Amino acid sequence: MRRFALLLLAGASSLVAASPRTLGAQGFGVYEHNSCAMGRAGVTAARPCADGSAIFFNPAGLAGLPGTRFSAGVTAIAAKGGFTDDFLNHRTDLDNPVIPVPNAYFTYQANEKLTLGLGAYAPYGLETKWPLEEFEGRFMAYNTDLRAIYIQPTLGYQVSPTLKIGIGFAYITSHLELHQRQDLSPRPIPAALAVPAGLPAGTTFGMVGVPTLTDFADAALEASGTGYAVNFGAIIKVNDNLSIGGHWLTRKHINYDGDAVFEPVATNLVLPVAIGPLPAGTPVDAVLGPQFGAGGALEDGPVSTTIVMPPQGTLGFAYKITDTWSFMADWQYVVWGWFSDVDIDFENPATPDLALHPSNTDTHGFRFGTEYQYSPKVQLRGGYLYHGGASPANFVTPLLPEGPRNEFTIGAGIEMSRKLHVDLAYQFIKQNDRRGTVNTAHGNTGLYQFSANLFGVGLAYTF
Amino acid sequence: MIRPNRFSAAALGFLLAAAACQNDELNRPFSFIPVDPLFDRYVSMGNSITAGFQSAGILDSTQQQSYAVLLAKAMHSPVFVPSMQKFGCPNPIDSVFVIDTVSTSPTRGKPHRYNNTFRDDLCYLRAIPATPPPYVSNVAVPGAKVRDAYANLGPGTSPNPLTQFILGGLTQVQAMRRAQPTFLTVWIGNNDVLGAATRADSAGDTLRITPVATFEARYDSLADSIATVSPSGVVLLGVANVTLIPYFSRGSTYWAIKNGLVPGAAFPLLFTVDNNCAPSVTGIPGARGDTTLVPFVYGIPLLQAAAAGAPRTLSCADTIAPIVVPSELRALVGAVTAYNAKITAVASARGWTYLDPNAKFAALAADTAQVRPFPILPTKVPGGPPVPGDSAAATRPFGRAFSRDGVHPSASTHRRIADTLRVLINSDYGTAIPPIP
Repeated sequence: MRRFALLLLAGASSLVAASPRTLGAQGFGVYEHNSCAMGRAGVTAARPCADGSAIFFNPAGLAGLPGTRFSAGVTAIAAKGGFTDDFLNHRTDLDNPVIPVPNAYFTYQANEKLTLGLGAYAPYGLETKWPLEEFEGRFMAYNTDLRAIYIQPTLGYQVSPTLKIGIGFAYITSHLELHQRQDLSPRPIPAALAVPAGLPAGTTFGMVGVPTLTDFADAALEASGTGYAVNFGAIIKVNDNLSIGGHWLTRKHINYDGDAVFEPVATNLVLPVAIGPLPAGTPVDAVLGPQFGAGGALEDGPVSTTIVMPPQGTLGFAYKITDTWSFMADWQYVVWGWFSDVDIDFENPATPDLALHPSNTDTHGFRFGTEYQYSPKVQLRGGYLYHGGASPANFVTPLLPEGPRNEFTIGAGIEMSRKLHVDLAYQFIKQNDRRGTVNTAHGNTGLYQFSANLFGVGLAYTF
Repeated sequence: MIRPNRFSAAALGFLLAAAACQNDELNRPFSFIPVDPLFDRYVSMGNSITAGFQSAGILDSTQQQSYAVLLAKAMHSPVFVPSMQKFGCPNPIDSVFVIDTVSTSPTRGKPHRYNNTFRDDLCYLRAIPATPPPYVSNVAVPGAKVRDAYANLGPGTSPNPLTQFILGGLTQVQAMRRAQPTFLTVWIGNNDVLGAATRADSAGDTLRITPVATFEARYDSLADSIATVSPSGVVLLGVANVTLIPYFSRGSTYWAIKNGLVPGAAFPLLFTVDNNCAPSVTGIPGARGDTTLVPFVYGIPLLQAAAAGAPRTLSCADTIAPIVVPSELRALVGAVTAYNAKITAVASARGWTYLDPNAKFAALAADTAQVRPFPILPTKVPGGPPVPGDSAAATRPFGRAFSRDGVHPSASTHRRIADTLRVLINSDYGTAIPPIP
């Protein structure tokens, strides 16, 4: 068992290293933590797959799971999409690479009623990457990377023949990166220049003509944090054909601490006429240089923020239509409304803090799945889900241009041997086209489009 | 019992219906839908006229009166004007003949401007709208010559504070590129000759006219720069005949008034006009007044001084530096003609449209209500020719077609220019830009 625990930890390590980086679910949620579950559109509340993935989907599903099992899998996410700007009619395509999202679960049946487990999964995370050149939204974000890995010891207990319960305590380790460009035009002109030039206090570079969308700095914010959450659930076996179940993963505020690094970006602007003490021909970049030095507004330094990992849960049923065919459905609820403000605080008092107001709304997902025992060794799966959008109409941004989605899945489980089981799954995500912004001060000025193809493979080994 | 295939079909139908759902309004906002895709992004390049400079000043209200803005609005093309804050940069003149006469004043001799000042060096900087523009669609800069369109520094350039405040360190070409224009108008070259014509101490200074060969080379460079962005449509406007502006009055007009040939107009007794200012048709030896231009900034102070008791004489001799004498007039008109031949050739070679603005200006000049042959002076100015019933002496002293500096078109002329362009563009490009409101 120790050997398998080490295997699991190795899997968790790879999970952290690879990062979730997905837009596989709503908000910055991820739901593709198992290929078996993925094949049936993630419908698992009443009948999780028998491979340990219940650790995430419903810890009660561990109860009664016989033997010792280890499963690991990966979901490859190939996302595509873009933003088409209203004014320039310029389309920028997402630059996301194909991203592998691993998962790993280990279970051990201590006795007939108690099963223990340890799982590593990533219910929250994203990477949104845009090409830097000419993307209008680069001043909000051109690369956002949020990873939240949950490592969860879990136990499932068979209370009675008809009731299972389970609970897990998840240790969360999270990492956040935000890359954005800084626009010179709204920046105030430093007093050292403004005063001798006779410019009124508060004069911005835009007021002396510097065009909007003038890159002058590249900001990279990187921070990490940890926390704990609880995941619990129950399954009731109503009769031999029908089960109902549900689970709840609690909310957690993660406090992040890290560093902000600012690099100058050449504006290549040159003063055509003298301004105060600066003669005609003075490069603007020379004027900006001190901003990046000691005491400047863009001096590198510590940064902190807090992000809410919202609570979520499912409630669903599984119905056995025949001995070989089951139908199941889940309602999924994520309290994205608690993800409403993100304040990024720079320790340097000269650096203006950043405040984002996602003002998300709670989302509801409706998942429908089916599983068919095609032969003693092959199971076929399919599913469909619809999920509302967490982002309100005024905050569809390059950080996370999400919206309501329709998703379709198919999958198969294959018994390779008495101990080895393989699951394969494919999922297509079509997000509704959605108007959005690249600068919240401007309102919605373009159209975001998004779709993705997901491929999952998992191996489950029973000892 | 539900048969699997029937269930599947029903489920598929449901799924397809759900997939077709769209919740958001996806189209471009109506105000940004141009009357023709050709005008998705219209950018105007040029100098003071295009920028909306009037009465020797510029601010957001005059910028909105520019022909380029009027045309863009008629096109329903997005318009992002680099608006200057109230009271301008500099403040426009409100009373051109109200002059600071305080001998110790640093603004002595300067006309009165909005916000009760004689200062012409004030600038209230750019206004920053609540929604900052994604680009500037009117990149014209007052004072710009052809070379200024693609270079801010170096020989042949003439940057000024407005170059900074409008373009922020970019050139017009660079600012234009940021907008990725689908349609472009370019009206530049006026200042390659205007500065020579209006130079205060030496009007008509031919040395200040950009040589034709230089102009041609620079215009080619500008055209090459424009071609790199491959706009779908381009209109080049020719250089205005700067000798037609009411900033100048003919020497012969002064002579006619002095000699009682203009009913209702008279000059002070102590103001005399040499006979060399008579029109050549009089047969007076040396008469050249109809080919001599007298800037009002030279002629009116002579009148005012005479009215105050100091005898003054207007001569149209070559030795009088502040006036444009016949040889200089020929040089100015010759330059305009040569420039426009070049602009015509460029337009023709590149398949662009050309508009000669001088036909419109000539038509206006033929109407003395539009272009005054002699400015209307306020009655309180001693010696000013009385114009009974015309209360516009202060508001439009140079006629309805020009603003209070006698050089820059008024709002009504901008509307005429916009409409002329509208008709031409509709004709050449098969579009349907509605009339200018």
